[in-house]
Amino acid sequence: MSDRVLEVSGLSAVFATREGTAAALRDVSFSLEAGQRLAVVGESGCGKSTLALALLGLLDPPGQMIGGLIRLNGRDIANLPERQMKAIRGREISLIFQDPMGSLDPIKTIGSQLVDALRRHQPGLARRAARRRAVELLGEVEIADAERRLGDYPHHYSGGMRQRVMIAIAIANNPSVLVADEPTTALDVTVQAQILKLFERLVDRRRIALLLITHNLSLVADFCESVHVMYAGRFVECGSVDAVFNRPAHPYTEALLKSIPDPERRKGRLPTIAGLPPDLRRLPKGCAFEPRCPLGNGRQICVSVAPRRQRVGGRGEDASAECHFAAEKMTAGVVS
Amino acid sequence: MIRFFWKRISASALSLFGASLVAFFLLRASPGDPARLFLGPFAGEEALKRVRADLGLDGSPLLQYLIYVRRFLAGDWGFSYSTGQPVATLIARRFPATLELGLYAFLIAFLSALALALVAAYRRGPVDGTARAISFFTMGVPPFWFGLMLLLMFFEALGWLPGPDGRLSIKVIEPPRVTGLLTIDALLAGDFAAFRDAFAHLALPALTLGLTPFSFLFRLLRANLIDVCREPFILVARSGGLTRWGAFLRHALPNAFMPTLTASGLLFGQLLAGSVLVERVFVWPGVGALVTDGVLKQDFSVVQAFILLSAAIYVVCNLIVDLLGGVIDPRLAVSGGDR
Amino acid sequence: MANDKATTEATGRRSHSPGLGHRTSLVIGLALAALLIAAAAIGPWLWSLDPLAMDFAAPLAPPSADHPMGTDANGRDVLARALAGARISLFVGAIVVATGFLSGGGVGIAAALGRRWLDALLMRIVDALAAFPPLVLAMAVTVGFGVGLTTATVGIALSCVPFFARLMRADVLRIRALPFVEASVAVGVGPWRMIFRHVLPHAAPTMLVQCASVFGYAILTLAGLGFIGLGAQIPEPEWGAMITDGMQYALTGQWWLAFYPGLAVLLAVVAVNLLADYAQAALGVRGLEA
Repeated sequence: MSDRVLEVSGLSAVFATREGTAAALRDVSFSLEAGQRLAVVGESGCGKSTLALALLGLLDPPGQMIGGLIRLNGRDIANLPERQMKAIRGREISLIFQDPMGSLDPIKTIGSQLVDALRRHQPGLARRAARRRAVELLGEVEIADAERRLGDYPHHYSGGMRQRVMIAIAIANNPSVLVADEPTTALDVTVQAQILKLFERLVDRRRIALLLITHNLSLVADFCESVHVMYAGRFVECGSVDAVFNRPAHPYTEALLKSIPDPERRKGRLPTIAGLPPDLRRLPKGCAFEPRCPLGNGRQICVSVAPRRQRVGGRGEDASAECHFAAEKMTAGVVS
Repeated sequence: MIRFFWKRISASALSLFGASLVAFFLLRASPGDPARLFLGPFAGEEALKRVRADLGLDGSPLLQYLIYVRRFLAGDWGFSYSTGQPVATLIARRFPATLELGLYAFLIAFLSALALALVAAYRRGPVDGTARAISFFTMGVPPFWFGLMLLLMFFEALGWLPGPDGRLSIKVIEPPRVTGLLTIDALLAGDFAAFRDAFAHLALPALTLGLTPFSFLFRLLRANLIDVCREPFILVARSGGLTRWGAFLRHALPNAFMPTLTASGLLFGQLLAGSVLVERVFVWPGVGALVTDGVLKQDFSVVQAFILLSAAIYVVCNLIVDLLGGVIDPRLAVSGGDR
Repeated sequence: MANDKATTEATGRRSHSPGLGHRTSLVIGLALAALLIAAAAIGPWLWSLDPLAMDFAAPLAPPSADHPMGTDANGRDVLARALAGARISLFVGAIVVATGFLSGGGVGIAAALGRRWLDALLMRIVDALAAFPPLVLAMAVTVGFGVGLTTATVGIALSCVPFFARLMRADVLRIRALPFVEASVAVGVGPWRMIFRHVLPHAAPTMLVQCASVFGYAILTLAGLGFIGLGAQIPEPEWGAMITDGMQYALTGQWWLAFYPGLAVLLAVVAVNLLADYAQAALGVRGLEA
């Protein structure tokens, strides 16, 4: 059957602020299998980055995980003490951050940072061997002239190259899961494509489970197999990329897809989603998307009852949506 | 890199030149006969005439300045009428005392600032609050008054430490002079009694002198640490398996250290100026006390030499710090406040 | 080490208002400053002993109801002298900051906005002044032009000029490079207008904070000069000179002579620095590290 490397269930996290507690993650659940590419999409502020940090146990005050299970390679790491957690970070699960420019220590050479990453989780590894390994890794992420470039400092590298180095560091110890938080957002479009291709090769070759966090829907369409759409800290729709993008079951997903600019269209205003993302400190009792939902029209049930996850048939495993009218949408046929 | 070195060195040379001009003209602006200022109120007409010719006081200010500079560079720093000795000799003899005091003060200031800044920046919260409160105190307290209060407490009231009677108690014999630093010399000679005594005498003055540098270093390092901790690579380091403290020590501290180092040239100015005040409180036989005596007795040569000397030391120290910074962090060599 | 990005994401904004520690700074700072200003302004009315009046009947008297801070060797009341000293220190502090800021700031602006040769020339002069450790320049001025409060003030002000000049120059250069300022130059805004409408308002927060810290520096340096005997002269009731005066008696039991003036300096400088700290947090500018 499938080898599930990561199982998350009921993950919740909050941020304590002076004006109240913000619910950043609300009962988030998903799972990843080896070699699977799962995308998490959503607007800024929906909780995507919080999810990434929470998975690695890096959520610092005022943020706090308040519940849930994170099973990595069969072990629950949600409440592990720091001492044990540090052996897991970078070794069984790695995180790639958005901004390559500031992600490397400016006063250490690329080589030493790679070697450090290697020797941290393989203490028996000799320096020489680690250096050789580092050169191999740079080669794997397609940095030319790797041997010589080990001695360079980060400011000698371009943004795209630095991101490749970050990837090299992330996969150095062969993790089972790779979480990439907006890995290409800060890069040029052409470089973006290259980096994604690199991801593809690495993930396939090493059978790493990839969790790709992004707000860029087109990326997801080309690259991932399954997608989870996040809104106000919850997954409002899950399913295979094909199904979700062609026949979205949740109004939010539909609105997102509609708002992608269409180069074919020459006239008319760009469609947007009316309103603003909700204040996570004062979430409504009912559906969080209701105030902006084109489908809702102020229906009583949407306002007062929070929708529960509903399986959506015919779209692969684990396909679901959190909308009172998801089934209605589906049976009504294709919505364009 | 060479360009950087050259730029810095020539800038320093230029500012030193400017400083000598400033010093020269400020002091020449003094009302009264310069010759008399140098020789004191009791000099006779003959001596005055000789000095006037010597200094070229009949010539143009430019000539006087050149004579002054040439003399200074040759090691002739004037003659102290109140002690009857050449100023250069006086300063040379008293310099080790100030040097030893400055070294210990710096050490105390540096180590405590480092420790406190690390703790404060890492723990934050009430620990940081306390540390900041301490730093406000040390920033606002007049060092010489603090030294006096220390004396009152530890010497007068508790009797734990010696009073303001110089570097050694009367009864203790000075160890043979190798470096001029009593603590080192005592250790070299194996004279532990003398070492303990010298150390005890250094304790309060070094603590006092180190106060201002401590508060300066602490604030600087703490601020830089907090700044660096916000950088992405710290979080990246933790995501790779370093603990919070591990990432703090291995990545935050080295990065915070650099800007602290380059800004700490000011430190030497604080030590120099501070020694003038602190040595007076503790009757420390150093250069600072020499100057304050000179001021009291209106011994002009001494004061003039000190002013120019301290400017020279200050400039050189700043230069060294700058150059060091440029070597350690090549990025600094590129920028530098240019337009 | 909070996760800034995540916090911003969740709460929608960065926290700019001063935190708890800084608010404490404000409260204590204001309290002390109020005390100081009250001492300087209405002190003599509340406590009417003449700071200069000598009373040979009670020399070196320990603190008592009559003389809450004791008397000195000539029977002068220490409390009255301390109060008068507040006036002197505040006055000198204000003058030093004002003149230092105006001249140093002016030099800085001229250097930043003027031609390159002007910039180079002005900055070399500033470098020459900055080559002296802080106290030493003031010493040179007082030794050269005669000791006393006036020359001390001039000397201290002179020693702040490089600080303000470099600060102002750096800030003006930074502001001038900001896109909206470049845009206004492109539109044709003249240099004077640009200075007053754009540059100064943006430089103001930093300048305010640094002026406060220089105020503290001025009080400390004045006391230092007084201590060496280069500032105010006895019998003027300046705090530093009072400490010197008291030093000779301190170790023979008459501690109050040196204690109270020093305490006054401490409280005054701490007050100013606390307020500067709060201002720095509230205005979001760089702190007092220099």
